[in-house]
Amino acid sequence: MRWIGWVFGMFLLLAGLPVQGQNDLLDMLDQEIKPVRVPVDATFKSTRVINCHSVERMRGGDLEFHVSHRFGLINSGFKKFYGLDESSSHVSLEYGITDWMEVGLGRATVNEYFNGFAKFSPIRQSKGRWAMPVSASIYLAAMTTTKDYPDPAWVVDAIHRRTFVAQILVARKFAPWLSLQVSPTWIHRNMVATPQDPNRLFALGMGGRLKFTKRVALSIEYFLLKDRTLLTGPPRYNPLSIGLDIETGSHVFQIFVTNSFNILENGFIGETTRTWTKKELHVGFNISRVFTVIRKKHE
Amino acid sequence: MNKIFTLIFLIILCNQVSAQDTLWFTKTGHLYFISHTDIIDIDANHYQTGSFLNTRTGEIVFTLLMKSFKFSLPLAEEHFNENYVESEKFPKATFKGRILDYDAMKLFPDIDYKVIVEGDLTIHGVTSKVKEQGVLRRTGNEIRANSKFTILLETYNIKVPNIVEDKVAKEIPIDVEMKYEPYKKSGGK
Repeated sequence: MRWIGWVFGMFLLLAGLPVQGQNDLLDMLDQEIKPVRVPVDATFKSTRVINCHSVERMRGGDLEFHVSHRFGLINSGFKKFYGLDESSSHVSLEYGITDWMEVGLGRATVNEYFNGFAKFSPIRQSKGRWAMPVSASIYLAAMTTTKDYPDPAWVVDAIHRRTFVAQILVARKFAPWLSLQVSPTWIHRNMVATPQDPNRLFALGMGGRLKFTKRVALSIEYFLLKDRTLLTGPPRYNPLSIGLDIETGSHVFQIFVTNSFNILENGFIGETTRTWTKKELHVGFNISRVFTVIRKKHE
Repeated sequence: MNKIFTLIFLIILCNQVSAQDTLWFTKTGHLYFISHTDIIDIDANHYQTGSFLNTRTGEIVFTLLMKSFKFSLPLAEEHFNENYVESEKFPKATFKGRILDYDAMKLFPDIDYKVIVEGDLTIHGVTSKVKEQGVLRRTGNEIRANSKFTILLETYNIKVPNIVEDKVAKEIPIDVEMKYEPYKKSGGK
């Protein structure tokens, strides 16, 4: 009986030893390192989908110089050089105070607007532990027109020159190649053309991008304006824009075709009087250049 | 029979003890890399590198999440993850190797043990054999491991487009700084 014990003992000894040798250390390490929450970055390359702000913002310490142009109508013919003679533009400086808060100041040519905004990004899409399915940003803007009134006899308080915009931007990066965003938008205009025009407008924006190489993506954006038939003056249309995003290092270049000539939210959502069905289209582009003002310290 | 059970018990105990005694562990290892060019220096730290060191066999493994690199240039962090290492496709970098001619006796307290580590380094889904120098030093109840080595982006199929070619270095020096503690099986608790 004694030898059985020894054999059994030897067996255990041999069986026990390889346990450690065979146990793959790398697998063990994977088990030991608990999954962490990993944020999903770069839902969009730019701070704009096309016209509309995207959930993205400057990270803390980064400053963006953003230039937008919308040329005239493509179908205006050779005499107007297919719209390139005319343009509306918007320039702005946008700064990331923290990774989740951005402020910006800008100027648009149409109706001579100055605009200021703040964008907060409290919710970031993430994977892993406590995964979050979407990113969400809140965009709050105020703009004031500095244009002279048609009749100098009009004496109107400065407050009437202002317009306010609030947006809730919700986006999800479904895959590295696909991101979609919905953008409910509220616009409050302190002064409107006639008493019949509503001061408040609501619109639902939808947009997305299809990234087909590491640096080039197709982007699409559409806004549904509620009550657009209540607006007086020329008929308003929903803005639809389709274009390409091209990224080159610290620049993002967006070029697109759109039926809106205006660049600010109150304009492209509420004042779009051209339509795709009549082939009234504009070529537009956005250029973004990012400067790092404050480098992050991680020590 | 009692002797046999005692023997079995001892064998099991020995295995247990040796398994615990020879494994050293960290999940807060530090890596640093810099891409130095005349135009711009882009650097990043990683403070959550996981590693095991087996001081009985000389085996050493590392794993880290690419997304956890912290860059001093925030935009560089996005480009790194999106365009260069493609973190969503290849979330981890790993190393699995061993110390060549390992001699546990040289891991004497407070004396530098210069080692050569050989193994498989996987970055961006590409595995490459590497052989690099490092230093181990045991102090009290911890082992420090340090290494400096350089990788070529080309080796790991990390492509730098022409347009930013002179802003991203082709060779990236990496500093590794590990502080191991004796491994206590946490059992995921």
